[in-house]
Amino acid sequence: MEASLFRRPVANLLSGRAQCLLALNAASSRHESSYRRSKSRLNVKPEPSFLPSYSKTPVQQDHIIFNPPSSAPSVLHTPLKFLPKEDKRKQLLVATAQKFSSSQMRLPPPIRAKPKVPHHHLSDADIAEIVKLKQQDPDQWTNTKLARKFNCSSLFVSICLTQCGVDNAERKKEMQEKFEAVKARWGPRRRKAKEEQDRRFKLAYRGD
Amino acid sequence: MIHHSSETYYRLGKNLPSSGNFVRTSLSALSFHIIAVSPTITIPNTAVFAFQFDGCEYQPPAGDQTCLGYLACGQLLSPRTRPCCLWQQTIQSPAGGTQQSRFQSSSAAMEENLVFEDDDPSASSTSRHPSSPYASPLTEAALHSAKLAALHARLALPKKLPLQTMARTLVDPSADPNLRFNNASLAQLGGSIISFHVAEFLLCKYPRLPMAILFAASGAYNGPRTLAIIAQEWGVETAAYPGSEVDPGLLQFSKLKPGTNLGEIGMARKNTIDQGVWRRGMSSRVVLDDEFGDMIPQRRGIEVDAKPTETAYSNFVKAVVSSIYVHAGRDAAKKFVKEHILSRHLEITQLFDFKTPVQELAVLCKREEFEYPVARILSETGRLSRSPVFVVGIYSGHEKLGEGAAPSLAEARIRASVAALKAWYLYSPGNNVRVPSDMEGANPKPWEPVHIDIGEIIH
Repeated sequence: MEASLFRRPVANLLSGRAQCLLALNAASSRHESSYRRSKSRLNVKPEPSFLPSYSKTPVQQDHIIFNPPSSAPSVLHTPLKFLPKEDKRKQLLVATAQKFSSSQMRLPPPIRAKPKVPHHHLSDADIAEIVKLKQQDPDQWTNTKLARKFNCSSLFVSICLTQCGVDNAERKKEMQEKFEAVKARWGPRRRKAKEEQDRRFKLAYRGD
Repeated sequence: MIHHSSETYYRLGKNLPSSGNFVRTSLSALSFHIIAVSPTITIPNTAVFAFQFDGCEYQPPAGDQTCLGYLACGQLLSPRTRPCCLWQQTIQSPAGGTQQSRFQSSSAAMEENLVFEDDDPSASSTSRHPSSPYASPLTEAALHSAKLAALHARLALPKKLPLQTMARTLVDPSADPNLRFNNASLAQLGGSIISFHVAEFLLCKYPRLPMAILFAASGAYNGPRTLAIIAQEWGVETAAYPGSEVDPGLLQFSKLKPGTNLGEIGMARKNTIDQGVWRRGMSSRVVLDDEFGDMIPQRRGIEVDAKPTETAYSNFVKAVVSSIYVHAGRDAAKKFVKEHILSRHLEITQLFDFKTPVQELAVLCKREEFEYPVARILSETGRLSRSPVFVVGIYSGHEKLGEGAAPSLAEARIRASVAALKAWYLYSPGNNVRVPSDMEGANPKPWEPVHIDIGEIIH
């Protein structure tokens, strides 16, 4: 038994496979080498307070243990901010929240989404400039480029252009055709992945 | 909210796992009622046999005792207590025309009867079977019907409600057009009572529901499909064909005539568009449509009812409620509605479908003067792997509004925003919230005004 255990890595080394070099390194093996061993190793005794009252060594306690499995919070639990002023729960919860607020000052890191742009900083002249640039060279000045130049959102650019009567139906059609051409080149795996992504997002908008 | 296909529509008729007798739920009704598109219906394959015309219109259903002895029935009918209804044949005549065309080639002997019916509707009383001289059962027959008594007992209806009224609730206007013998007036009153209780319940329990969700929820509670399910759960069966010899405990209505042109039934919305009445938006649904935001058919008399069974069942439930109201009073009717309709479980969180949840939440926070909502990563695993999981929370200031988990940051952010918006819209003052009609009882506590929201988010 012992001999065979020792001999195996050497034999593997001789066979020239690269992965056994890693296997020699004790720190790199995260698991037991067999299912049975890893299972028996993971079979940890539970916390004595979690043992049921009918077990052989019950722990005497006079409090309720609330340890639900991790799951998404229910939408039926209204956050404190969303409670109307006249609701009786508001006063109770505000008192509790104040008690714990000092320790809860550190917030988790934000998602690095699109950089926030200032609002209401463009004048009428700027908007006229946006429209002029777009009409001069619509292929060169896309909405994204205009947004970057004027430091505003591309949604704002599109609102400006539609309100000033710039007709972008042709460009939209062109872009759609381009996208269709790209889609036609997709293979079965990418197409399937995209379809699944679409379906997932649809579910996300419903919150299912 | 518009996820509709003909498949989901047909699936409704089946008993879904959640729509059984034991777990009372309106889920199956939901999948239809949140949709406001006209259903697509294909023409059923129907066959009409010769014996169905020759005075044998009534085929007794299984377990119908009336088929055991026509003599006993004849004795019941002998005292003529009511005039015979002569108008029913006029309703049947359009279908008769198509029947005629279908049978001209197959059966020459049939032709005489059909032509005779079409030419002279006043002679319809003679075309009935001798044992069935009237359009619906006589009032006296109600006292001898085991089915009717069993139904009365099963629903634990008050003793004040007589069996004769109970029998009348089972006669649809399509079976007996005479207003003195059908349930049309009762159904009208009962429908109003039910929708009043459902509306005040929904408005007091979820004061912030948007209009579209309110329509869908009320449709799920007391829409025709749900009421039909309720009636079927009560064990009410349909008569194969209405007539005076039928057991009064069976629901009587005229089913679709074979050969009815169903192609035109589902075109109500298209027709109105053609007529120049262009409908759009929620406001037009509020003003012009019915209580569920569904379109009211323009020409009620002429249009064929595409779902006669469902309509008849729902009218029956409404008529039962109003007969309780009429005979036993307001409180009994309210209790009945509460026990049979409001007690059903509605998964209201699944009715929502947002278009731009992130923007909508930002607008909400601006309107309510909260801090701008920021998406923050609560935890993540396997960012560079094939199947990562990100848990994202939406924070306004220091408070978390919603949380969502998804395989991409964008999707998790959407999920978190949707959760936050649902938490806003589904605010409820409590499970046992009082409704205005509670004040009508004896010695009520002083009324506390309910929360009234300023309205849904517009952006």
